[in-house]
Amino acid sequence: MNLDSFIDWILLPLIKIGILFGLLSLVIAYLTLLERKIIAFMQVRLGPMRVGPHGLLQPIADGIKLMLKEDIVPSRADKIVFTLAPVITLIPAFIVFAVIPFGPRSIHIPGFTIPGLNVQVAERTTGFFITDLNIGLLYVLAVSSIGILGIILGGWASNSKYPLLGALRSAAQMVSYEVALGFSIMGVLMMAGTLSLVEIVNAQKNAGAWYVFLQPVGFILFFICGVAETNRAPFDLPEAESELVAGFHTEYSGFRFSLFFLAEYAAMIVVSSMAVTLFWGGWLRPFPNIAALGFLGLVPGFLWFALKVLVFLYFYLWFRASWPRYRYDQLMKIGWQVLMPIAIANVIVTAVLVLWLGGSR
Amino acid sequence: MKVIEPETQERENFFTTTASSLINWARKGSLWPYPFGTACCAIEFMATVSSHYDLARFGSEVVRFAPKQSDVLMVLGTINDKMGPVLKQIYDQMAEPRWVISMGACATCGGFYRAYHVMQGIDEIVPVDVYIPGCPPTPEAVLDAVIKLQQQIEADTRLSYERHPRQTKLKTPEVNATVHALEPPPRALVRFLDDNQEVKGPIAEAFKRRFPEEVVSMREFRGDLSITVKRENIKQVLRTLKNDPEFDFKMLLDVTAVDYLSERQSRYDVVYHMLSLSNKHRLRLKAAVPADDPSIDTAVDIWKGADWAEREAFDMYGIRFKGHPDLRRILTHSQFEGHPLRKDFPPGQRTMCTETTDLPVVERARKYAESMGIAHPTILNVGPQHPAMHGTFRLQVAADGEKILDADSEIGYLHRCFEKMSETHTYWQVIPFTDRLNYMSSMMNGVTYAMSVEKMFGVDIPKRAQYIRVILSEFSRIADHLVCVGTNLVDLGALSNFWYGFRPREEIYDLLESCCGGRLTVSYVRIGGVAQDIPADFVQRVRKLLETIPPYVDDIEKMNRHNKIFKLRSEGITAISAEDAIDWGFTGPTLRACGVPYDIRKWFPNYDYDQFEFDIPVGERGDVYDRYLVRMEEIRQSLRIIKQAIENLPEGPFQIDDRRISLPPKKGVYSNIEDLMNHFELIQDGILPPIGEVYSYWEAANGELGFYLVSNGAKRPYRLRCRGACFYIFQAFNHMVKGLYMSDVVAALGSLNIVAGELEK
Repeated sequence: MNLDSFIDWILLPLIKIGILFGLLSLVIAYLTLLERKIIAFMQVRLGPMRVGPHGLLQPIADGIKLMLKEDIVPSRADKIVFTLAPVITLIPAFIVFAVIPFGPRSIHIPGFTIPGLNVQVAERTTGFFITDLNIGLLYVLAVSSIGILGIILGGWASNSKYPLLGALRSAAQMVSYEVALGFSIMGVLMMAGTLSLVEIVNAQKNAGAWYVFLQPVGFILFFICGVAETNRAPFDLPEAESELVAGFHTEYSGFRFSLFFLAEYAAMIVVSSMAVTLFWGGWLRPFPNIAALGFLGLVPGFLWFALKVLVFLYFYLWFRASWPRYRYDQLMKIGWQVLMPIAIANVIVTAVLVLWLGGSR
Repeated sequence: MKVIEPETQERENFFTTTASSLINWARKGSLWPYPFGTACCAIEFMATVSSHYDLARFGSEVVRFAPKQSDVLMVLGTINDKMGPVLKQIYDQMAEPRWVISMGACATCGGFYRAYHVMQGIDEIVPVDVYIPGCPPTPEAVLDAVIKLQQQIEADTRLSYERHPRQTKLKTPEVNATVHALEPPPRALVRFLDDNQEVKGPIAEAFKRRFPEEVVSMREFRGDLSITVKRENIKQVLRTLKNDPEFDFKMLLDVTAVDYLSERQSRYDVVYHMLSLSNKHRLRLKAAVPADDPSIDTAVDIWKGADWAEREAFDMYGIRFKGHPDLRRILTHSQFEGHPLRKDFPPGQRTMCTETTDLPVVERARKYAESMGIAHPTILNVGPQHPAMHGTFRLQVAADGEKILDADSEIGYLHRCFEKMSETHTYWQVIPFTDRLNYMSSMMNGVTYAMSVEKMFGVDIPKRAQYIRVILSEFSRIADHLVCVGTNLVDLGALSNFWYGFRPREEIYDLLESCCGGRLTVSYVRIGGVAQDIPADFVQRVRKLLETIPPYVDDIEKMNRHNKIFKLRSEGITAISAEDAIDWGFTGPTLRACGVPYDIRKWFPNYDYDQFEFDIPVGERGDVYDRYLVRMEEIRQSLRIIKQAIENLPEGPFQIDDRRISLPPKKGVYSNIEDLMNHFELIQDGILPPIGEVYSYWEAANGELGFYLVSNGAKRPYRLRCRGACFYIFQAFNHMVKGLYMSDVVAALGSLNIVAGELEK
């Protein structure tokens, strides 16, 4: 392996992974605070105030406490699966980020010589993403659905009734919404003609409009299914507090419980990022083709991306503060009888239009 | 000589002290509570979480109902001997480090419930870190306790907590001797009861005509018709009373018993109260039951509503109802010994209760599965410490996946022996006990109780006192409905409504506090009026409240009335027909949601209710959605009533001027002997009502609240029976949820407004 490929395939990704992992952990931790604060404001309260100024250190306190809490494994639980389940949930939630483009391929690293070794490092350009897989979208769908396996295993391994019910709900929910989710992004695929997430964003740039304007139905379906996939209100049945105590993680304590927590919030960010990437132009500024708005381009792409993701996260919290949750059978009904037909219709209509108008490529 | 060198020691421990202070900082900033709520204190805890106090500021709002994920066990309310084992189990399941806060007098020491079924402090079974005094403590006190606990944690130098046996074993409780034994009734009461009068009136005459053989005695006292019949043919009498259009007593209000000890040949009286909705008649039917064979025919096959009432009479008096399908103990623990309301039962005699038992549904499900040759259905235990069961109800279901095939409910986890306690306290002392029946709207309990004693005296209270009672009771109704709707919606997942409901509630608390100093359990009512006059700015305060409450109500309405998800979750859930509802003994909003406009304020008006203009909202289907609508509309109607009452608030005394009942003016006490003597007598003996028995009733927030009072002329009630509205509503619950989903159970329970204090007395 020569130096260039070492830098391209090992060193740079490792650095990026490190940065991303650190950032992501922080973002997830502060997302919990954001949730508590925003919901508090919606409920005419203040939310955490005492731990750090305006409660800013709250997530850190929670984290330390959870890590040091006694870790209970129920004596009748399946111990191996019980310990494995939170990890199975957490890892996919994190590795999905490998293909999500936070910004364009625009980081220039000038060429330089490593002093002492006298090795020439060539100039190179890299992007605000770890890798640009040509099957990125498939990768996201495939990996993110593993996470729910952890939930099912966790609920089953607890050997307790409420977690089991939570896990069963989760399984049913996954099966029903994964399908509609897949169909809802077909329209985008047909219009972009690629599975690479970077290319999908570029295609939106070329098309001159974010796909949400061309695929509004697809977007709404995607976001509904996304909320359902992440088990958040109003689809938070697997951990419905008032029904199943704490759902699938009732028997988990301390650190393991916090892993489930982290995974849930990471999954929220994944869905929001995907919504932004597929429908809201990723890192693109608003109206990317209108030159008059060029000053918006001064804001770096990844900030646009972060801003858009934040909007979706806000929606998540907003939903949680406002809506009751569905019942199990209603959830199934909506998934199969409402979302699925609309998604399929959307695919057909898009396909016809793409053929008729000659495609947008 | 030993020299301590502080500097070197500090250096050695530098790492551990820094680490432990960081850890302690994290631990104290992230105290996630497990709210072990049972009673009134739980409502004040809810107020602590609500906007005015906001426990979230301390990082403690992450309420976890899974014991393994919570740090501090907050015991909110009375823990009785039935709940004890549950509390212990929850504590044992918690992960170290764990702390316990005992909120309120009851959790700390049993409070004023020195009774046969109340644990005298939770430190009998779990160690406690912080005690909060008060009954119930104000939210400020709860915040103070959290801060105190944080200080304790800060001072802790341990890095890790080992799971050590900090637990105390269950031990045999001591007999509490602080309450005195009870005396048998005087002959005068027995004479009064056996006395036969010539009674006029359509019901009495029709009864005499129909059952000339059965009538033992008939009497009318303060407008209450009371008929004693022989017990042998009681079933036939009851059936006729229900089905004959001449009587048409479609609703059985209450079944209870009274113990007359040795003074009579037949020791017990079984007492039925019934109501005819078509003729607007009430009747009290009694049947004497001897001590050597305390049994009588059941009325369950006539009125469904007799089910739990008969079980309660069995539990309390040991009267066997022949033919009752499921005659088990209901309020006390299955291991409890004796029948506590018998007059010879010492009020403080406790039994050690250790086990939790399966309900009959388990056996039913097993038999069914065996007979059909199918797999055993999942048995799921919902409660008593399940977030949707409001802390004290237990439901055991046989489920097929999420679908409920069969269910049984159990209550008694908050049985605080109200009725026994009122027999051991004077008439005045009973008032604080009544506050803790339906603690959501404590004012109304006090009013109803005071009404019963006033009825016994046959007096009317001054107009001003009546209006104060009306205004504050209607505010209590609003507060009650807001909590009910709010918690119901939280159970459905719509969180914010709870906070929107608690904001105006807090304002109502402020009003009550300005009148009497109490927020939740007000004890403002006195027999013959109220404790003191309303403050000078009362009228302005009320006017302001009339303006501030509607926007909050509208907010809740806007979020839910046309909310698709809410409608999906609530429409058609536990719909019940008007006939069934009446048969079960439903009253209040739950009955009105079925389309029956029975509201005591309109049907049997007192306190000038007939002069106020207001409407009675009724529903159509009697489902969760209709109950929500009825409650929201009742809030608006209550505001209307308050508006009219405050505009016409009369001047005058706030207490009745009757020296048998109210204290003489202080000026008189200090200046003349008559008033001084009178004051002395009242303080020493309390009030002494005449001998008699009355049933008084009022439209409380969740239905007809009734007090059946038997007075023997002494300073304590001889028998005070509380007819809690939700007792009759909740007994239908396990029948209503059959065939529904688990999620519907949650929706349905919240909509019924079951308040444990009143349900389990």
